[in-house]
Amino acid sequence: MKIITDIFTKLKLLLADLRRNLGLLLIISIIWVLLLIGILFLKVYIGPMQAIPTLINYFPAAFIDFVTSIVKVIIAGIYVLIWLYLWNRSVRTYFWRAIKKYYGLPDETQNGAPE
Amino acid sequence: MEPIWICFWAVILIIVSIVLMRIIQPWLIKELRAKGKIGIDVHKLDKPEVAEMGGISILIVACTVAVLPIIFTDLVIVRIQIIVFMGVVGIAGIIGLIDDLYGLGSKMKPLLVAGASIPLLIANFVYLNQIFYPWPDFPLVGQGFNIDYLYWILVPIGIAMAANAVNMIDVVNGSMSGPCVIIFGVLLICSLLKQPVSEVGVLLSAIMFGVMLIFYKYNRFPAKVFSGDVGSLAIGAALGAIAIMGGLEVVTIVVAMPLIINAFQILASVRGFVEGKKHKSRPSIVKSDGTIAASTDNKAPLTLMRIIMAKKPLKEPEIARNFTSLTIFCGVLAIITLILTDYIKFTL
Repeated sequence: MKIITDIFTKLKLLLADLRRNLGLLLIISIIWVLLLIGILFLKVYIGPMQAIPTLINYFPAAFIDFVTSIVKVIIAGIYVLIWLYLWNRSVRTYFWRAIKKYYGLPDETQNGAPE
Repeated sequence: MEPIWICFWAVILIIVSIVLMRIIQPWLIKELRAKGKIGIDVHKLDKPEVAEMGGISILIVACTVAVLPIIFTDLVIVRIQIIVFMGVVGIAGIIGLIDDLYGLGSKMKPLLVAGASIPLLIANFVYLNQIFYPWPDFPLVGQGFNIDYLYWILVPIGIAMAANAVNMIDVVNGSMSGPCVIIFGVLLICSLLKQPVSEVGVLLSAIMFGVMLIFYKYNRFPAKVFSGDVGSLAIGAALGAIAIMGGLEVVTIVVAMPLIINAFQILASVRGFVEGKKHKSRPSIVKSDGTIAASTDNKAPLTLMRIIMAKKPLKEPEIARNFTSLTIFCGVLAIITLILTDYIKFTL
């Protein structure tokens, strides 16, 4: 019986923690969804892409494949950078908003330590 | 091996890991204390002394128990994969041990840990892509991308990132061990759900799950032992190796998101690898009532602990519990990711 009560107490604490970090959970969920969208986007639009289709008669096939691969990696890299930027920005905004609410600091530029 | 036998051996490995850890950990704590290997628990008002480098037990038990599946498994490749796992974890652990004893630079450490992937790369070269598969499965699209050359470059980066991410989350009692129990538990479930079942993933996750469960018992608030870099780097390398050899790359990224957020935000806020002790400003402040508050200094590194405490100061066990709660949430997302990878595929 005690074990069941313990499990329920732990579950309650877990739910309370999740409710407390709702903003952070939302950010994690958005990052996760963007990861899935990114994979689909790369597969549908970037995967079948041909980098230099109009010049196909002037260059050997191996060269075209090489350039195409590099272009694909660059586009995927740019998507990852945008993804990381959004992630960083959203976490920073969440943090400084929460700090502002609790400590009453005007913005990110003000220093201080609570006591 | 039949899935039912894989499950049976997973249970056996968990039990053996738990029993061995339960024997070794208390003995190791006594030995470390006797040899003066102690650290100060800075997040408590009375600053107690706690045994350091307790992660040696993780290294010993993980590598010892991993010998068992080498004996009972009937697949040569799985045997090689387990030997490679022992090599990767062993090298990362030894690097951590050197760091604990002599101190390595903040830039040198990730580079050396990346070197722990050498057994993985050599074995895969010798066994022609049978140790890990450089065409990973992605959610919704399956094996949608041909990234074999890029994957070889990503292996050392992945091992170094995983090891350092685990190392960086080890800030308060139970903040690393708690989430790691969840992570290895989720990897165990995902290895079983994977199509076909990832035998090496199941066996190695089971070992690490058992090991971390008992380590958490000693590392949670109030901690009797700290893992030290020897433990955290070994755990991180184990995580990376399981993800790569078990074909669980995307799932591991999703379940380890709290660790990745922590590492990424620290690197972004201090702009590079800086040793924790060299930060100009601390991310947290221990208040007179024993709670820990987030620093509002914009020069302080933006750690996950600081983000969680932004709303109000928290007690140490509450912080660790929040880390674990976030990891459980990410674990659910990781299982959905695996279902989207292996069970639901769009024909594009």
